[in-house]
Amino acid sequence: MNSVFEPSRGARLKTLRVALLGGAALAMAGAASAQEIRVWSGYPELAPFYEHVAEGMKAEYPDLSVRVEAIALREHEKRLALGLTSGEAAEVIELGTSTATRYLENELFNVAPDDVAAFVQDPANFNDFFRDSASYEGTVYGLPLFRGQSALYYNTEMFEAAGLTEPPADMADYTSYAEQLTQRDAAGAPTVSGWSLRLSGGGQGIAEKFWINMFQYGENLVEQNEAGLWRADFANEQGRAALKQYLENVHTLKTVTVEMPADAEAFEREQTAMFIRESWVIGDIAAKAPDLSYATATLPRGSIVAPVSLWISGEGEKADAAWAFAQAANDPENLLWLLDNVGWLPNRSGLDYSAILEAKPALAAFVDYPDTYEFFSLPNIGPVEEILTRTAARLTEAFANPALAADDAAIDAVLVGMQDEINGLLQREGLLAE
Amino acid sequence: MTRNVSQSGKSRKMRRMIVDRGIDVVLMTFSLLMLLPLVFLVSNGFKTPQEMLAWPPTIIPANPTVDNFAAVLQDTPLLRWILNSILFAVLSTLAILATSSIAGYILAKFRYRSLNVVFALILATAIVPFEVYMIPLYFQAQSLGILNSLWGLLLGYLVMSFGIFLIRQNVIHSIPDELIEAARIDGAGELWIFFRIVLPLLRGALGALGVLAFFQAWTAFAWPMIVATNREAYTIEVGLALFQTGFTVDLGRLSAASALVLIPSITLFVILRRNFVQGVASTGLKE
Repeated sequence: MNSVFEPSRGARLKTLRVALLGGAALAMAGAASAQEIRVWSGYPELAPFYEHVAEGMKAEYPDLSVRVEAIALREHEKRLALGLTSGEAAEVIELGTSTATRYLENELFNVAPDDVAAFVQDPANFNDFFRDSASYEGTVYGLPLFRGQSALYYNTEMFEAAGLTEPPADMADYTSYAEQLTQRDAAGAPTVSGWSLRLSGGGQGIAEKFWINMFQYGENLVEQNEAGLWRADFANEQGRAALKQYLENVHTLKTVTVEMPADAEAFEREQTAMFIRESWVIGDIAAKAPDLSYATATLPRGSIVAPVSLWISGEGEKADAAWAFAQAANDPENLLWLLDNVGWLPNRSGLDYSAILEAKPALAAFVDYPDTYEFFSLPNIGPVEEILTRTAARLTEAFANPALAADDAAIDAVLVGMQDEINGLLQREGLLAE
Repeated sequence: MTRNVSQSGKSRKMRRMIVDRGIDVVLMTFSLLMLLPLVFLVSNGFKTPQEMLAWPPTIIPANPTVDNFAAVLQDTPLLRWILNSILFAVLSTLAILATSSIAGYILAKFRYRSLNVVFALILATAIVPFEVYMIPLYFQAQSLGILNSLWGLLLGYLVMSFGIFLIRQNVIHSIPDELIEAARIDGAGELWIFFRIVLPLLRGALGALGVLAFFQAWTAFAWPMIVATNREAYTIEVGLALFQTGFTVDLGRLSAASALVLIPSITLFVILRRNFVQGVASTGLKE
């Protein structure tokens, strides 16, 4: 027997229908008001930065949620290649200009709205170099964000012990400093290298580091002409000086060997007196070798810069929210947070770094450089990785050949071989400047 | 004379003992060397960043800390990733066991010319690297709407051509035709024969295949990395890639996470070690 308080079957069905309709309406209302955008990054250490930016947007965009998906760079690039072509990529994509070009050529990133383009083109916000790094054929597609840039790191205690009071000012100084800083055993073999050079390891890095040194002599691995084509033309005095400096340090002066520990770890373990690297090393030293006495200095002429921008994909309101996020990431407060907490260098001009530099003076060589300081960056061309890898293979072979050290003609022959190979690759791609 | 015989017997015994002990020492040394990376992995998980930098590296941390473990468990959904990996590996193993046993049995015991062609095609797929058809498979997963899901992960790991081959060979060698014929004469249906006769006789081979299939899925990286782009959908192999920053690897946290990840795989190995050894012996493969 049914209770009088128990609703009839019809009433129950009606209640259920109302509840279902109400639930659906609520769900739809929720879907309409809540919005989610995704950020894909190739630097896991940047995830807290993007989350910080999203947090700062809460007041203006209370219904916006930002999902940050960061993974190691190579995996990010693989994921992106499939995601962009299949339309599954995130709305905000962080990517270096050299890799972004292939997607720009295929119109897989959105053109920046007028207000964003005006912001990027304003010289008060970005210099020409960074404006161009976020543009393709004169049109703005992205928002410049941060960069990798090199400087000299040197151990101040070792400098003091060697009677050196200033960092090296030119490339000749680098060699003479390396000689004075090298510590040797009783047999004369180096135990602490004077200057850690990249002589082995990952292919592209060797060529990049060589390019950085050659740039100080005034030469580039490849150069672009006015028609936008490229050519390698470094088999000359400057190229020879750069390669000879490596050979002289390794084989003649023996300030460093191929087998010696190198790079940041060697510097942190005090196994080398100086080396050239990006700003991330400052954070690494703070974590692993907090008692290390060191300082940084700008390079004699300028530095390699790897500019990274935010690019947008998708349509409609999601794309609008994505552009708003990219603009918020460029807010001065957020950019200073980026430098202070992550260690990457913001691309935006006119930021006041004084408070950060007071606490972290080593960052000065990266953000406080002379007006004449020059930058170069890897060319945004398809075969750039092949060029660097093949050049690195030839360099590694040359570094291991002691017969080259005192033979200028042989050094020139190595340079000509490298140059011809690069030009051959450029010709194959229709990119060679005649 | 008897004394001479017993003396030469003693010296032979002594020589054999020395040789045996020598072999033991060599094997122990190699075993320790093989274990050393694993020991360092666990030890690194307990080291501070400063001690991680120390050269030569220490086996026992001077100032052990659980900070790396705490950071890994607090900052990343590590347990979720382990669960995803377990589900992925278990379901993939079950699917591979099912497809391999059915296909292997049919290819071994049913005589049709077309089956030889099918078998040749299956063998041919074994020499095509997964990376070759990974991209079309991705687009298939996309059109099915199963990206960022367990089903998306499983799509590439439902069938193992080597497993089909392994089971076919086992059926041919260990299940006589007469046994199946006798069952048929007694009125048994094909399904009954498969479930009540064939599968029980394949228990050993299926166990070995199960271990291989589990570890294949457990260690998969490329496919889960492109199919799962949401952090919560990662498997542990993909999740570990997050400990790599732009230029360095956070070795402390990576070691801590890897040490935690070892727990389920070592547990499984201990439970199934007999099958694993049998799998290695019968296939010549380590994976």
